[in-house]
Amino acid sequence: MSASQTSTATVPPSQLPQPKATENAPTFPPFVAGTRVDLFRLFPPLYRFVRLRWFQLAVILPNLLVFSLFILAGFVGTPVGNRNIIIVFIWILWWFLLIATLVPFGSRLWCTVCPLPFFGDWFQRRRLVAVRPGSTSGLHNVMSGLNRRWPQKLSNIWLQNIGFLTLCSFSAMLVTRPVFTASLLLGLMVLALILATVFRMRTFCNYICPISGFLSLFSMTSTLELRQRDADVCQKCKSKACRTGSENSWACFWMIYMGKLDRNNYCGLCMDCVKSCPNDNIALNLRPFAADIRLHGFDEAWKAFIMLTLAMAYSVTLLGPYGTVKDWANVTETGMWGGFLVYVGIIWVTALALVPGVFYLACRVARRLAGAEQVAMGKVFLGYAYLLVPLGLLAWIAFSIPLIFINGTYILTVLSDPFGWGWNLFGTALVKWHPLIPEYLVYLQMPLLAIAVYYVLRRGLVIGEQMFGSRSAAMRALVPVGAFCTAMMLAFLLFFAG
Amino acid sequence: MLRSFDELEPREVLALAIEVEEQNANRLTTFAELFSDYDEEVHKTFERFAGEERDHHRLLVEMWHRVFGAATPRPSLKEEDVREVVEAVDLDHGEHEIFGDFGRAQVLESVRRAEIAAVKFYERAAATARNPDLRQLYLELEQMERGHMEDLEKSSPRKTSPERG
Repeated sequence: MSASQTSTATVPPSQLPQPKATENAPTFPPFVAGTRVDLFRLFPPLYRFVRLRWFQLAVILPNLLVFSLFILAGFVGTPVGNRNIIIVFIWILWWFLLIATLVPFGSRLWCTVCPLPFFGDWFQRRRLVAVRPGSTSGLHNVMSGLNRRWPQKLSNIWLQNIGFLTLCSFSAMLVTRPVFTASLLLGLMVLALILATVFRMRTFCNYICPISGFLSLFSMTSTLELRQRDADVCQKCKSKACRTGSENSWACFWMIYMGKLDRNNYCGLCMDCVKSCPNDNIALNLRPFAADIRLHGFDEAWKAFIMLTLAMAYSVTLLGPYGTVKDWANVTETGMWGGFLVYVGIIWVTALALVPGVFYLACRVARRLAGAEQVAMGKVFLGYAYLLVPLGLLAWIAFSIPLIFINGTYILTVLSDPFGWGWNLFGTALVKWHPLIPEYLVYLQMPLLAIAVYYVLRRGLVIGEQMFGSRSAAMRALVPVGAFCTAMMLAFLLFFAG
Repeated sequence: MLRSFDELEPREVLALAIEVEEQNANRLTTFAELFSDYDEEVHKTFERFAGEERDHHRLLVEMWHRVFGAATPRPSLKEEDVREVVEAVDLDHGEHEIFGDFGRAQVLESVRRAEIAAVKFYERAAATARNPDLRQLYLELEQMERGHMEDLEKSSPRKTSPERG
């Protein structure tokens, strides 16, 4: 294997392939095409950076080190949640940044830097940076491990749905007990490694990781996307190196074929395809909010129901005045197992049956109002279920605002004393807890809920027109579905405003 | 600089058609390899069609010999030099491997779509060509592609063909 085949060196910018002028290329400004702004053309240094062979290692390794510190803190640090860096940074800071900024503005950028699959990837590639050209299961790379295909019947996100619901059932323990969070993170890392030895590529990420499950759904709303620049170029491409890899590049570990990718859900923004594409045809675009509107299957629809229900459940549990509910949720402290089972049962039944059931009825009425009984009910249900995606995301952001504003000062404390051992590394360990503008938070939450309703109505019209063929039918159909969504938002407002 | 199909001379059109069949065979082989561990039937179906595209390529090379002579070198025109897509088999969407929802029927449909696109392409080109030799060539190519499509539809449950214009 020659050095040129496994180059780990930076390619000098002068030797990078220059974007080809195509008939479909935008003229002026060169980085704008319709409603998309091509960030690779707008910021060439960004393009050069992601094409570096060591790009992934550079962005993942620091995160891995930080995670290791958190896990250590979780196991050996103070058991007091708000004094331990793992609880404060994961469940307050990271969660807020993820749901309020990374996802809506960066799609699955968290997955770009996520350390959970690091050791699994390393096992499969047997390289941290270089490429191993060769052949494995039709790909043009050598991959270690058994490379088995994930069972077809499980090739959906139902496992992630159930996994996430299970985790959230025990959230009161997770978000207060450092050792539980540390065990969860370590457990996920080990599981990712084990799966990588048996199954191909990012099987863990696509089918198991609970974070990936909701990221895949909410990334549909993001203002960032990685797409082919010119679909005709991809269609003519004979190598499909974005998927298969090449002697100089890795195959897509997310098992995505970029040539026909039309939504964000399963693209982890690892940028390997940007390196692989022989035609320089991959663009990182800014785009309008909630641009992807197609749900693939009922597993994704149910993910939307689950996320919406959980946002409501947490609003009731954590922000509501119901002490009994809090006690039921916090079972390891209260020992109220009977109440805990009732609490969990209500959440599961509501998420999996009640909310979907009411939504189904709304869709049935919608179809009747549209006068389009010939349209399959499954199509109507799945089409409108998308509306719960921007709705759910904005509800979660609204819910997360109190988390950061009320608990944010703990961040300063644990920064100086990550293990809760009485350190004061940066002089902030003694910052007293105080909530930030608690009386005004509802004025931050209300606009988000209003924006959610706006997008429901706007996208609902588009979806209705696609399904029923006319704007007037779409408007009539939107009444029951829009009412459902508006009612949900009013319920959230009720809890947020007290 | 991309050229429009309308700007091509007859030699270039036939050279491009030959190139298209060869590259389509390569694309189908790539897909066959990609699905080799995924679904044996899908893998074999892609391989079969890759073989058929190589047969089409051979037939077009024979056409070149017949029309322009074996000694005449072919222009080195590639698909990526021309703006339009003449015939290119492709998948339906980018997430087939994730959902495991690409079966033999989808393979047939992908190939069928590509063949229909080729028929319509040459049909349109024949309708707009002013050069009689070029028009005749387009009609022959259209007939050939239509034959491919009819062969395909005999092995596929779906029976729809573009109406002759």
